[in-house]
Amino acid sequence: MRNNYQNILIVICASVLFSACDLLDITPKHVVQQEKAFADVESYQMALNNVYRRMTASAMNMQASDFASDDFASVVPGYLPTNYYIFNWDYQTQPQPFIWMYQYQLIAQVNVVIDAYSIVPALDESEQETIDQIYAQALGIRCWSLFNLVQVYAPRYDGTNGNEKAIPLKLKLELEYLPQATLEEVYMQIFNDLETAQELLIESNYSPTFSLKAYQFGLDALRALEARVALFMGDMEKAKTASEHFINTALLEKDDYWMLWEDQFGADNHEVIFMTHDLSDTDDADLIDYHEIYVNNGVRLSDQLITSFSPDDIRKDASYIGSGMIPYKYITPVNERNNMADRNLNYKYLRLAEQYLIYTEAILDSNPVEAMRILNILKEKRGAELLTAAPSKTDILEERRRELFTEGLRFYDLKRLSGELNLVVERKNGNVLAPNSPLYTWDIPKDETNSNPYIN
Amino acid sequence: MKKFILKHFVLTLLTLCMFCLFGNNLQAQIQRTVEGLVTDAQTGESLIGVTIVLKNTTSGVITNYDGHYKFGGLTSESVLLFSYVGFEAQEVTVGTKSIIDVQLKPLSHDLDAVVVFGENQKDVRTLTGSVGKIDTKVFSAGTPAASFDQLLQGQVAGLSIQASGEPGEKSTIRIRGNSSLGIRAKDDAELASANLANEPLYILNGSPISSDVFNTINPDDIVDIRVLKDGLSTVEYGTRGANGVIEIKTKRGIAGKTQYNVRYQHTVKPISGLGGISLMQSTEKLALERELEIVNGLGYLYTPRPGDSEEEIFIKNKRYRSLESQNTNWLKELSRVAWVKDLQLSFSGGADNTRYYLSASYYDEQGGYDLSWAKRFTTRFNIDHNINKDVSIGFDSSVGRSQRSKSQTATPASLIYTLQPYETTTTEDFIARDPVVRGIQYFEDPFDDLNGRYSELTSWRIDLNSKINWVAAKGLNLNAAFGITYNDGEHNRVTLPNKIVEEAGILKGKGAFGKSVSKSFISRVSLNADYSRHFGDHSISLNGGTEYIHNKNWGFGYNSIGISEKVDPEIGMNPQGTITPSKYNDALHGYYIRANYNFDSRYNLTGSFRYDGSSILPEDKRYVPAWGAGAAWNIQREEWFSAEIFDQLKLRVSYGVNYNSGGIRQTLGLPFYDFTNSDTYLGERVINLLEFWNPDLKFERSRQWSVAIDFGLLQHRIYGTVETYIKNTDDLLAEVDIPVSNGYEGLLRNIGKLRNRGFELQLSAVAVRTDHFRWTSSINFAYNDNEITDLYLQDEIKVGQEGYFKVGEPVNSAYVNHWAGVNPVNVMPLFYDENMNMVHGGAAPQMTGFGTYTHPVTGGITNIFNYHDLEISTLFTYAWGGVNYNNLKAIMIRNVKNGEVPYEGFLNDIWLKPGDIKPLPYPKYFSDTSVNSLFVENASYIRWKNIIIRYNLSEHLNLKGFSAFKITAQANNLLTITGYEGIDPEITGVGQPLPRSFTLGIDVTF
Repeated sequence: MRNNYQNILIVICASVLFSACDLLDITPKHVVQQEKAFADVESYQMALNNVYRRMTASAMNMQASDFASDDFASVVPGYLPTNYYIFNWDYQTQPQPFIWMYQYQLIAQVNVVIDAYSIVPALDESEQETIDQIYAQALGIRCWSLFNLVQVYAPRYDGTNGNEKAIPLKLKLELEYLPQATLEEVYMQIFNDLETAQELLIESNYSPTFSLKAYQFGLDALRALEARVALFMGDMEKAKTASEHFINTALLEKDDYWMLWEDQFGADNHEVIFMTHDLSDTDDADLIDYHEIYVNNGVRLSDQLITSFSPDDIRKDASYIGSGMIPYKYITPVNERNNMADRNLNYKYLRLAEQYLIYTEAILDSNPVEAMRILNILKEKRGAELLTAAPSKTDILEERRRELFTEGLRFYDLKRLSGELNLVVERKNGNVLAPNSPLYTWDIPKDETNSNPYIN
Repeated sequence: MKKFILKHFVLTLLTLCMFCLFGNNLQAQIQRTVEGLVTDAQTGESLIGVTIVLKNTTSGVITNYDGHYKFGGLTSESVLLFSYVGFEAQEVTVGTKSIIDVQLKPLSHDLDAVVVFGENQKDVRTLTGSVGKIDTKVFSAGTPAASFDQLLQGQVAGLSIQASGEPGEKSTIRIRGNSSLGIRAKDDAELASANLANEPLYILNGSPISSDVFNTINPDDIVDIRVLKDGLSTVEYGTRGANGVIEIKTKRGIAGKTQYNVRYQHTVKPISGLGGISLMQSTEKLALERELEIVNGLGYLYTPRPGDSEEEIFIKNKRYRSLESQNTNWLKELSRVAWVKDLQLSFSGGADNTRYYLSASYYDEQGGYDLSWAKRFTTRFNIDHNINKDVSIGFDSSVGRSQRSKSQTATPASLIYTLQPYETTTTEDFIARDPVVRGIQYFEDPFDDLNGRYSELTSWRIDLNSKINWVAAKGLNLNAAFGITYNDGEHNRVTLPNKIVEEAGILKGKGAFGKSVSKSFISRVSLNADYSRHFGDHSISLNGGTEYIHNKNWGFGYNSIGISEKVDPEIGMNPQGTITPSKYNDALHGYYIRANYNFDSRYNLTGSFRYDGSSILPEDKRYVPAWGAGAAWNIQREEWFSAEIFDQLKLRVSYGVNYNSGGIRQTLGLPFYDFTNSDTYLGERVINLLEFWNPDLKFERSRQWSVAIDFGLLQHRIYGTVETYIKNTDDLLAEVDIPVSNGYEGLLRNIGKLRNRGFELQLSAVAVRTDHFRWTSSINFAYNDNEITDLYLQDEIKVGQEGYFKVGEPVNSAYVNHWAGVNPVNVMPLFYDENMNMVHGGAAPQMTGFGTYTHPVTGGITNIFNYHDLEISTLFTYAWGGVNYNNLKAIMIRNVKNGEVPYEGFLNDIWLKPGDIKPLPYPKYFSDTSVNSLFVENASYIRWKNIIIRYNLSEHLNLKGFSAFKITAQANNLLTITGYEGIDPEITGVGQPLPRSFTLGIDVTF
């Protein structure tokens, strides 16, 4: 009897011991590894959707940099103190501006797509084309982020100071401790990627449907971005070539200007080159909030900006600038077309009008008459007073300011031209942003410097 | 439900009273009754189930779960015989005493005390390891607690508990300091993530449990809690034991006459104060608004301005004066006096071969406002049976349901700063609460904020365990246990619609509903063999086995925007929502063996080894070995030792190597992609990287030396343990910052080494013991010194805004800007830099040197006085040497400019005009959220935690058949002595103060 017991016991013990190895082989049920995740084109597209989705947040659009410009006369601390700190060019007080973090977060999501490019299998040529197109869009978006980062956190690049330290070039998803790349390296990377992306789209016969076109970082967006980047580094030749693609596309008529903001899906509206979809109706998106951006900080537009509009300028209409001189670009007020106020959160990252302005500036020196003609087309469509003589650089800058206010470009413009045009920004409390001031280069936040041994 | 219980309670009580009266008539003769405690002479621990018989008769009683007995119907000549398995029997003559305490001596061989089952299983680990015990009394004393962890404070040296003020919320528990790098932050949410890695392992009757289910356990079912502190005793928990282990054991039946126990307690919690803070009154607030030109404040609005007509000025002044006389106590308006009802029923009994225990409890606690409450229902049944002399079986089952409700975002304490003292409950425009302008508020009306956004949590827990024990040969025991646990949690979050917010175009105004359902199924098998044998003075024991735990988790979340107010929000929610399903499994497998050698009960050697594997690690790193060894020397058994005053003198030394998996998840080792994301873009699904990964993760390892002396003095009057330890932890796991250029902010990494050194003293004494009076006192004291000894390739690591690790510094150092005061010239805040130069806010460096957030010294003092049938016990807890961040004060000062209400006397503290020399700057220039030394305050405290008075009426009422009829009165959190000026020195963040409460109860055993 006792022996039997012992035998049973031995069997039990032995079976437990030997089965142990299998007992611990548990793979996660809710997630999949990279190889399996990107085993089909659909999943690859879903990773890109994730990137676009992230770009819908107000934090991703570069409005925060406007607070450092001269477009606002008043910003109070409110519940979003970072905007107030930016307004005072105080980049150290906690919480520090979030631009660095948000842009690199976007780059990480883009790098998911870029890293997986080589492992997504294509069953046929058309699938390979789709894969190439997804990859090209991702490259373009990364260029957009790198451009913003280098504008905000690095000295201005004028073509001669290429060896100055700029920003870390984050090109892979994996953990890296990166030193700052030089200005030249960053701009080279941007241009190379933009070239690669354009080639891929051309070779893969990129032809999006009209309804999707403005939502994809496609060929037009790549060219528009290239024109913008070239302008900001002073490569007028490249800026001209890139923006030339757009100047034959018609701007909206003056009476239809509202369509740009209120009917972005309309067939007549060709002014949007790239925008993101408004997600505010589909989820708990309280972050994407006009109040968060402007109202909480009691933001008021500067008198200088307001008075620079000519009396008939359609852009000064109540729909675009609020009665108390509040920026209204991101809100659709009650008017003859809308019986209820709504937020207008299809963020337009790249617009046709900017390309007109880039082209004007790029040919100003070589062909001032043509520059005047192009600029006048835009002015006419906006109801502004027309030029009778060739524009000056200041004229173009002023037009850029009126056309693109609160779209995150004014601070870059000031940085680009403050030295040449002797632009000084002054605050009521006496703070001054002098031409080429070191304050034009924001401090890299502690989130980076605390843990990155290569950046102080 | 409440009414039902109350009604039945009254009925039961009436029945009981009648029974008593009836009993009186039958038994007219009054005889001598004695009571007392039976304890282990060596350790002073109380013994449960000791048989006490009147010599030469069969009449007898047994000690209860407290080790307490009461024996009636005796005469002064009666002789009582105390006997207990594994102990020498003792005889005592009653005489004139009413209290007879007995200390039983263990039989010569320690290991003889190992018996088959039941409560009297001797804990072999205590021979060489450090195992602190918290006994039943703490849990059965009737201190109202939604969760038993609230009762552990001040009970064991080296066990530190930081309580929470919300009903049913769990506490922060640490054993011997922080052995992982957790980051203590000024905000509560960050603290929660730091908790995980430092939390001890919790074991309920052998199965691991999460601290999240503490509130489904009835404190009254707990028979003891053991706290495993040293490196050796935790070896049997292998990869999970490095932060210490807390073993919770529930009651099992005591053989003998069936004992019935009914207990009801009623508690009142008055509206608590705000601790060290008093809020600004109307006169000062209006003046402040006028002075600072706070545009939305009425004090500013009713300030006459140049150009006002005489009539306007008159009206403004009149209105201003009438506001000055209005002072609303908002805390009182928003809070309520709360009740706690606690009903317990239990039966315990059995014959020699079968014993059972059955209990049921209902607990209903109200919080400080209408929507804050916690309820618990539990029942437990267990049975032990000896099939024959070799085989015994046991079965244990419990069902618990706990429900909690609270406001999602608000508490009265968090709202009052947004309410003006001159506003009243009939006010409609609360000036600092416009929900459209401020994202923080959702409803303008504070009552709506409290009641319109709530969360309700219901969890069920079913636990079934069975075990079998077989004495296969002399000295050889085989055990098998199998258990399953099923948890079912449901969490609803409701936000009622708010028209104003909705009309402002904010989508949330439509209301929102969220539900998460989580289920888990844990199965556990363990097989174990132990063998012991004596050869003359030598004895050995071996214990080995294997354990497998499989953990299956699944559930889903549902979120939607838009609620119909016409029906219950739970079914009136928008059916078009997002669903997030989840599923996760893991498993743990371990082998262990422990050997013990004993010579003449003088020398003892123990070795322990466990080899553990976990599915959360990659295959090649899956198994880790934990081991430990210890020795004990019973000095008082040496022949040369003749110091009579010692009952016991034992020296113990142990060393152990343990591991901790804190925070490691399977998905952290490789990049994993999440296909369950419910987000969409243009109608298409999205996938994302689940989390940033670290392929080099490994378990954290700790190595601990402990040296202790256990002593017993003066004929069992004083017992104590003095202990010191050094615990070195390496491959420290910490969620540290990585450069955000990676797109992610933090990553769990093995970053360095840490040392905890400490000293612990546990002393319990019977200070006075006469025939009718007993005073027992116990004191515990722990000092822990914590230091980072290595950060691998770095000198310092910064984490987030406040986390800072530096070699040579303790883990939880306050790392803040050094406040220097206000610049009288430009009113800006000034700080010191490292060289004590003054600099402005943005340029100010953070530094240490302002103390640590963890108290190095913690402990408690318990005193119990017994006189005849009266018992008074009281507990003090204390902590010393740490600081706390007064975040409330910081927020108040920061938000004054938005119209919020600061503390009384604030106006006098701020700079207003050039030349002013004041401690605080002009509030408009004070919006910096950096941590500031100004708000770091000494948080040492001593708290009078409770006083309990119990009176046993059974003798007075002459209740035959009742062993106890006790009336209890109790007061909790009576007094806190501290220099801390925030709400409560124990509470992090804004928080609620620990509530004061008063309890009346009745406790009947028959």
